[in-house]
Amino acid sequence: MGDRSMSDSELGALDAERLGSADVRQRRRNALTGALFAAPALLFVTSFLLYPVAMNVWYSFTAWRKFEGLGEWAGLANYQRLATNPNFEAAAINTGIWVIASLVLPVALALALAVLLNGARFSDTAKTLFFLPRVLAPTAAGVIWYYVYAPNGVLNGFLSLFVGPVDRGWLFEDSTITPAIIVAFVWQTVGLPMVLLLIGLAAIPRDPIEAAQIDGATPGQVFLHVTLPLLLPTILVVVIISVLAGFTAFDHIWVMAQSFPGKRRLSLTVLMYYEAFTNNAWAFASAIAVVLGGIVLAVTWLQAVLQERVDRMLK
Amino acid sequence: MAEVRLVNLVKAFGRQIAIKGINLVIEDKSFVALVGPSGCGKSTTLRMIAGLETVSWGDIRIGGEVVNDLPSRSRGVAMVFQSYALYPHMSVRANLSFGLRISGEPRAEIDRRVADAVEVLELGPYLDRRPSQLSGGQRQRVAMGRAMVREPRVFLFDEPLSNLDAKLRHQMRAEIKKLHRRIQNTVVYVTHDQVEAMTMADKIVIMRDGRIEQVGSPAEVFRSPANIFVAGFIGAPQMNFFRGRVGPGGAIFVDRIGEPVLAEPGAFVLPAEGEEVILGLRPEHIVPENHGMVPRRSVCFKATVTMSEALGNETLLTAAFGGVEFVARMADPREVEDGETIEFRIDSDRIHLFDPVTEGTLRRVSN
Ligand SMILES: Nc1ncnc2c1ncn2[C@@H]1O[C@H](COP(=O)(O)OP(=O)(O)OP(=O)(O)O)[C@@H](O)[C@H]1O
Ligand SMILES: [Mg+2]
Repeated sequence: MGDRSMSDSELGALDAERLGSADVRQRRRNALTGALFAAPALLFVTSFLLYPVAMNVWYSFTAWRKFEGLGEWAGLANYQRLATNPNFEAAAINTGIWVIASLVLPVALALALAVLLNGARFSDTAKTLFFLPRVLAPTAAGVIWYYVYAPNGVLNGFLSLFVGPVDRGWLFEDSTITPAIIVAFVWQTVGLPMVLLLIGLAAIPRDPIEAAQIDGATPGQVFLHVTLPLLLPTILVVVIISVLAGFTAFDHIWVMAQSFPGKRRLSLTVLMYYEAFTNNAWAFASAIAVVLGGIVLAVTWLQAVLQERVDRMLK
Repeated sequence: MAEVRLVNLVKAFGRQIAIKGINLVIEDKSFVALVGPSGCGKSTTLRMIAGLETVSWGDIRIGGEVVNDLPSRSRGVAMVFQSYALYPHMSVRANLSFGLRISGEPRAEIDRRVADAVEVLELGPYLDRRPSQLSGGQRQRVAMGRAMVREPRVFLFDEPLSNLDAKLRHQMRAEIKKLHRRIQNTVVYVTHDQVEAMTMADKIVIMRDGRIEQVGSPAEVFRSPANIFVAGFIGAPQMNFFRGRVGPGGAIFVDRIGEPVLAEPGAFVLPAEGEEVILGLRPEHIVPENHGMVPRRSVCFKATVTMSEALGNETLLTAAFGGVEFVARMADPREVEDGETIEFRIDSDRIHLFDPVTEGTLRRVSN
């Protein structure tokens, strides 16, 4: 036929079915391969995550106590108890404080550190230093800070240098225990958000920043109008990680509040542990877990929505 | 009033000296092109003027004022980057108005200037799009618009057209030229495309390895290159160079060319008889016999064609004689076989002569 191409009518006469069939076959093959690859992970997630979660939800509607068998269906009784349990309200409020604190403090601190360290001379050493606490087990960090806050501990000793003898029990007073533990928690966890933000900062192209400088922007304006928006995806990830960490904080509280009588009021996670393993009220503890899980799920969903919006904004 | 003056300007990156003490005056309202091979320091020079690189030594003056320590935002310059450097998270409209907004211009003034730029650059249909939704040429126009609306004293361009296709580049060249005529501010334009430099600039600065080799109008640097480097850099295809020897009466002898080339009397300062010189000839001044005008004074020689590149309206012939290769332009071309021996004519009035040691021109300085 020489060098000529097909005319439109010739193209139209081709069997449409057969034109698409190659793609369909290809897609089918891909789907099968994909399923095979995903199978082990799927099996793992189902048996160790989805199944326990489902069981947990089921338990929360029963009257199960540890040594009394599953008991009968209790309907919403456990959830009604949540509303009337004074410890639940206190724990929920404290968890709220945790979430807000771990949203604001690590993110702000990590952002400040990241901006300061980005391109600074001793930034590698400083980065390592700030990341170091992260490699400790949370319980170990908790023990260290337990002694910092002890009545004869480092903090009181330090304060005594300035204001005369201090012997406060930071971990024994309602008003100071949560802030004190949060400080320890932030000290240990700020490293990861900082490293993530540093990576994000390093990935921001130089060009738009230089363009903004020439466009007349002061360093503050460059940061506000160019750097920060371009860093938004990373900030979002960091915020979500921090918020979820705040909701699920447990180890630090558990270790540092070991001698505090009202510790089950310190967070929902501690209350849940207390109800399950000290009070043996497993069904009630399951209900707390369901509430906590629901909130975490909602936060994750919110993150997905925001992430998409940010992506669209930067696209 | 925005003359840009570079005085003994040096830029060191650690041990490496990128700019080696250059002096340059860029007159107010002029269009100056910085050209030179890759890595010669064009961008570095431009970025120093913009305030994006510090000055290691010497001074930059804009409108008489030393700006070495002024931040970019206070220099009254605008820059168009090779990569366009648009703000990816802002719409075209926001990109254009950003500089004016942050400097607190009144709303009406911002609108007026943005509307102006939008009209000149035909950006109307794209105002609400993001940079990622634009083609290369459209982005380039936004980058220009962003620089325009600021009405800067000095416009800096760093290879703004190098990412565009040939047709668009041609079009944008005309746009930039028009823009300059309209706004009448000082333009410093970096390019390694000599066609851009020749067609757009009032003055061309040729750089090599951190130094300025020559400054002059496009015609000057083309007709009277100061040295072998400039002669080779300006003009495409490149100028041909032959080794020659000075004979009696200003005649230049080249091996295997039977007759000597007689330089135009008084045009050159020739070394003593018997000394070597470098003879430079542009491809259009080596005329294949019967193709093109016969020069007024010329010398004939024969050479064997090793390659021919037909461009349609002309053919570039690569030919050799006695181990020396050169390129000639064949106007009104015919088919040429490789290996064919052809007679060429050297236009004696158009030769260039250089000192083989200093590589400087031997042309007598006029006036
Ligand atoms: N930030 C830097 N650090 C170290 N050396 C640099 C830096 N920027 C440029 N240089 C060096 O300075 C020299 C000049 O670079 P410059 O970018 O000015 O070249 P150019 O003329 O613009 O080249 P091109 O045409 O490839 O863009 C080069 O040798 C380059 O390696
Ligand atoms: Mg460059």
